[in-house]
Amino acid sequence: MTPRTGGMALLTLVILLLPLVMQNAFHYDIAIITGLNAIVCIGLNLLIGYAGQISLGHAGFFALGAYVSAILTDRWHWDPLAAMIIGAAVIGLLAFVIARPILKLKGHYLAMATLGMGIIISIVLNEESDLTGGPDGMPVEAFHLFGWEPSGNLTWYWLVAGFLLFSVWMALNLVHSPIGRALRAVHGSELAASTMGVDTLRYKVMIFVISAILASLAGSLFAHYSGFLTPSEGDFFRSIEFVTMVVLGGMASIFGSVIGAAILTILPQALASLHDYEMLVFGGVLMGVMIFMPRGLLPTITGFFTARRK
Amino acid sequence: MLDVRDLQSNYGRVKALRGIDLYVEEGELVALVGANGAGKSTLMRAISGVQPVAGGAITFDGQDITGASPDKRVKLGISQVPEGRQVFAQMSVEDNLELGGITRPRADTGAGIEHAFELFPVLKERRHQLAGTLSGGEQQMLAIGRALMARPKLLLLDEPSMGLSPLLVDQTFGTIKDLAKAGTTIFLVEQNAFVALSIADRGYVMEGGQTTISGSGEELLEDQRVKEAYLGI
Repeated sequence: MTPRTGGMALLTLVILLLPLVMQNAFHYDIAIITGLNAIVCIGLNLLIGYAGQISLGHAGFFALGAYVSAILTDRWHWDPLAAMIIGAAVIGLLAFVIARPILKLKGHYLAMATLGMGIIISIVLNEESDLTGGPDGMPVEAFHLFGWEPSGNLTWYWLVAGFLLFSVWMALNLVHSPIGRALRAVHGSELAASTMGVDTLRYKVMIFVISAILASLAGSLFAHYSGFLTPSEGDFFRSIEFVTMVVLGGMASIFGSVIGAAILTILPQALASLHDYEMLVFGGVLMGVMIFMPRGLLPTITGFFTARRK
Repeated sequence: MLDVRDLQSNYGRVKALRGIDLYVEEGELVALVGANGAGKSTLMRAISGVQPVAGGAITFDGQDITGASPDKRVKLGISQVPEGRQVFAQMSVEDNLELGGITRPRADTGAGIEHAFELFPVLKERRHQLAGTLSGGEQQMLAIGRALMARPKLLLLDEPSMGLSPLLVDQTFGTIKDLAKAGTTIFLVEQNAFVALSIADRGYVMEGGQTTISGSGEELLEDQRVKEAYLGI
């Protein structure tokens, strides 16, 4: 069994066993949000960890997906599944158009450009109140698939879990294909990669679009699950949160992204009892991990075990 | 096969290439020598397409490639061993080789890798090792093997002797000579004028962004100006 299939099996097992441990609706809520965050992070990690490009605006794609689903189903009574797929396609196209000019930028400049992109999306969601309800937010219709309506936490849990497993599987296949090799080469040295015959811009754009589509799909599911949307889902802090999950879990580690998403979703809830000290402890944990495990949680832990086995 | 006409390139206001004229015929091994800062690497970068060109033209196989993207040039058959080798340190030896074949159909990959392993058996022993853990000489072999994965019509080598011990320099140039004998067309730029000109069919001397002297390898080795300037005789 390779680490790939082993990891898949372990993740599936955890997902299957979790319902035995979870006791109330609150636990399920956290698990579902974790799953949706993890889907966004998997896409983002392909971009950051593998292709070596930063995006500080991915919450924008998440929120766009959510709002497109909300608006198409609520205002125009579209079928939710169709709205979700059309939304992802349109946002993928938008990402493609944006990506070509901005991915020619590097480092800090790329960070600035994606930051600007996220802020523009956030402003549009706030200001277009006829469509989005503005800062007051808007309600979202219930999801249904060919007449079947997921209701209750357990159903949503399985739905998100299935989608998460699919995303992990897809991402793992992608990074172990020649595309993944080309992405790592771009990460290593864009110049050297291009002289090897890698069309660097094409690969960067492709991965940016894939990550935007994943964020959009997760956003759509989130909209239907939560039943109510506000523009804060697309603001700058959400984008930073996603990047933090990726870095904490481990760059270029698909399973690391799931763990990073889980920790950063669960930790604030677990620390809620500390009241005023919550953010202090939260920040301390983040700093501690980054100082003592600069490669991120999962790569450091697996590295520790493989070193001991030798 | 490769034809460079009046090629110019600038870094801001600094003129790095001031009108380069050179050609490489099919089956030739051509060396271009010059001191530090003569513009050798800029020329290499311009030929591989990662350096903006301010004037002049590059033709390959009768096709104007002056404005073509780097990956397009690889697909046309120009493959490069870059300066300082530039292997992907975080990838395994095998992955590096496979990446070199990215422009080829996937079915060719296996044969290409076998060929590289025949050429450099040490790479086979280290196939699963990260490229960053190889010695300088092994990295050079990997860089050459990787460039050959693209089955180039023209192989470019940028400073192949850089950072190698004298023994390894001889080995590397021995390999280059063998590749040329086997029919690969090669254009290399090199600071170490003596080793480069000893194996070259023809050579150019580059100074201050221009090619100043040209001739066969032996002629240049005997040339008084070359001797004084580069060989220290």
